[in-house]
This record gives sequence, C-alpha cells and structure tokens, in this order.
Amino acid sequence: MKTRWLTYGVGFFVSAAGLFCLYGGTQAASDVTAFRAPNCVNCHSYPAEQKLILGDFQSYSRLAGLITVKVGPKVQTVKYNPQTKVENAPTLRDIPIEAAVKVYYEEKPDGLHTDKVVVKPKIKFPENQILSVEEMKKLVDLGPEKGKFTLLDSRPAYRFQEERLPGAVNQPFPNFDKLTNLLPQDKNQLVIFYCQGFT
Amino acid sequence: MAARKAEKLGYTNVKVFHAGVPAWGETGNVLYTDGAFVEQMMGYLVLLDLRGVEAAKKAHIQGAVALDLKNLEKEKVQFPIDRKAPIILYTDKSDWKELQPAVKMITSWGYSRIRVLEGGFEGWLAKNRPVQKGDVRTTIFYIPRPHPGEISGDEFMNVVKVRPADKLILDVRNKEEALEGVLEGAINIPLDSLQGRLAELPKDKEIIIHCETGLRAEMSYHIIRNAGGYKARFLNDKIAVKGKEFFCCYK
Repeated sequence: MKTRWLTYGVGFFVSAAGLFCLYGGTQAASDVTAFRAPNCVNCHSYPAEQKLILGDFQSYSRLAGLITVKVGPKVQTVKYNPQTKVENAPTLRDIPIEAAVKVYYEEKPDGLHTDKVVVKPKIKFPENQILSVEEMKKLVDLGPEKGKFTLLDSRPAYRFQEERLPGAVNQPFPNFDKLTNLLPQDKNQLVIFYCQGFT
Repeated sequence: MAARKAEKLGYTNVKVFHAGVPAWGETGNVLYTDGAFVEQMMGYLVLLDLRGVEAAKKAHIQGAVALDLKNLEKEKVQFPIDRKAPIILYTDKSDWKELQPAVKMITSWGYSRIRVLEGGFEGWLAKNRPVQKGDVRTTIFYIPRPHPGEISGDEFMNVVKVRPADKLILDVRNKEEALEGVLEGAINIPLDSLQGRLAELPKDKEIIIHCETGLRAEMSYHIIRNAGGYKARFLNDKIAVKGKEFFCCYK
C-alpha cells in the first residue's frame, strides 16, 4: 500500500464553460426497451410504453443523489429525490449490489429521474416445501445418489460457473422447458431447486 | 418459478432451498467453482494450492500460492485486508469434505467469497488449463480486478503531474467539496449536473474522471460512455484535495 502526496497550487477552474450551460440531452428516448436487461425480459414482460429500467442494482451515491443499474452491458445512471419510493427494501442504501430491480423513470434534460424503485420481492412459498440450511447440509453430505435427490441450480450459467452447491446441476430457469431431461425419471423422487436466495 | 413448473410436470416431492447460495456460503459451507471461472479471473484471485510447497513445485495452477493445509491457521496474518477478496482453494481432487474445515475457518475470519475448485488440480490438468512448474509463490498477493474504464493510481498521478495536452481531468465532486480545492487544470462538473452538461466536455481529449472515493467517478464514467463519442477513464481510488495539497492513491 502506497500513499503519496504532492503540493499543488489551488486551481480554481470551476468550469467557465458552465456559464453557457449547454444541454447534452439524453439518449435512446425512442427505444424504451433499451433500458430492459435481456435476463429480466426472459421471464417478465411489461407494456412497451411503460417507462421502466429493468436490471441489476449497482451503486448508490448520497452525495450526487444517484443510483446506477446495470442493464445488459451498460450501466444506467438515474437520479432519485427525497420522495422516491422504495419497495421491498427499507431505503435505496439498503438495496444489495446485484439485486434485481425495477426502476420507474421519467426523462428530463438533465438525465433520467425516478420516483419509484422496486426490488424484486421474495417469492412466497409454503413452509413445508422449504429446506433450511441444516436440512440442505444433511442432504449434500449424503450426495444426490445416496440421498436420492436431484439438486437443480436455477441461476444463469455464469453464476453457476462461479459458485454452486456440491452435487448441483445447472438448469437456468429461462431454459427450464428445454432442460426437463435434467429432472429425474421417477416423478416421486425428491427434486430440490435453489437460486441466489429468496427469488 | 421452477418448483411450480416441476409440479405441473407431475413431480410429487418438490422442495426449495429458499435461502440459496448466499446463506449457504455465509454459514461456512463449501461452494464449488469451475476452472473456467478461475481462468477468467486469473491474476485477481487468492488462489491457494493446499497440497503444500513440495507438490506445488512439481506443477501448480498459474498464479497459485502454495500453503500447507495442515498449517493454514498460521497463515491467517497474510490473508488480504479486503474480506471480499475471492479465495479459491484446491488440492489434487479438491474433495469438498476434505476442504470443509478450511472453508469454515476462513469464513470465520470474515472472508465472504471462498470457493473450492471442483475437480481440483487433476481436473484443471484434464482441461489443459495453464500450469506452472518449478518455483511457486508462498506469500499471498492480491489485487482486485480493475473495473472497466479504471485508470491506475500511478498513471493518474502522472496525468496530474505532467498534464498531457491530450487529457483533461474532470472532477465530479459537489460544488461545496470543490471549494476546498480543485486539482490544477481540472474542471469541476458535479455528477448530479453532468448529464445536462456533457456538451462542455471535449471529444478530442481523453477525460480522466475523479471524485473522492471512486464511486461517483465510476458513475460519471458510465454517463459519459453511454453518451457516446467520448474517451474516458476514471480513478477508482480515494483522493482528497485540500487547498494546495492533495492526497491520493491507496490501491
């Protein structure tokens, strides 16, 4: 770790050009779907006229009043205001990085603005169908063969490649119908699904 | 949802491990990773060859650090400060049960991204992935993978000192912060007004963006990049500008 410092004359170049205040305008106003990540529209569809950004939450800056959302290869910046509503998280600050979000936006000359951010909600599931970490651990210890179960990871391939439970097989949810061969032949056998947690 | 779909197909015993991958890892359980991921992240991982130095000298995964699994506890001091550093463990076969105690221990030290290479060194060899022979590193060395568009601290310092004619420093901190000092030759456009003031930026110079921590500089980089036609990079590091002095670059 290195720390360096230099002494400098104060340069007060507070952008003389700022006086002209030229507007750069915003991009892609015509194509609303440009703000919708492919992995989101795989499973969710919304009317084309609805102004939505669908993607993965990236960052939050209190000082600038901005959040960023990753939409496919692009990172989109959106302004929030004190009235911006947040659903499924206490505040914008609490949204985990990479969480799937839906951002309602308005386009203004100085960029995109949002009044509402919705974090992908937890899926509700009957208690008796949910496995705890301890129960899962017991099964993983046995392994799929001895434990007589099939463990399916519903996340995209890149996530599966990065990390997965021992014994799991990847069956990305958008391809479920094409990958039913990964399910056991015996329809009474235990089948377990998991993903990034509560989605 | 997958579970419902399986039920529709007639499966009668469908369960969901609802807490998923994060909860599994947080409790110190083993997560496997693929050789393809390791190869893709090479150079930006803590890659630990736990077969010990002698075995590793014969051959090891490129960039690995050889440590002895039995004495791993003693190596705690040299683990990186960054608790989010991706840590990959492997042995010959990387049986997860063999490595479970090590994963538990490293998790208890506060690290959150520990994974075991599935298939181990043997699996790595079988796929013809890069291997080194002879000397092996025995001390951990970690640098985080740079974000797209990141400029190194060294190069940034050079731009500030030399002020090359083909580069412009853009300071995106707020007006109040800029009152305490702005780098010589830099222009200040606070991030919250950047989108509306893009026309002030030159297209024939590379724009080097900084803020105070790197967060807003990165956001600015994406705004400028999305606008198209500009060349830009950003400093993803802490910098403090106070009057005539500035302090920079910790990474």
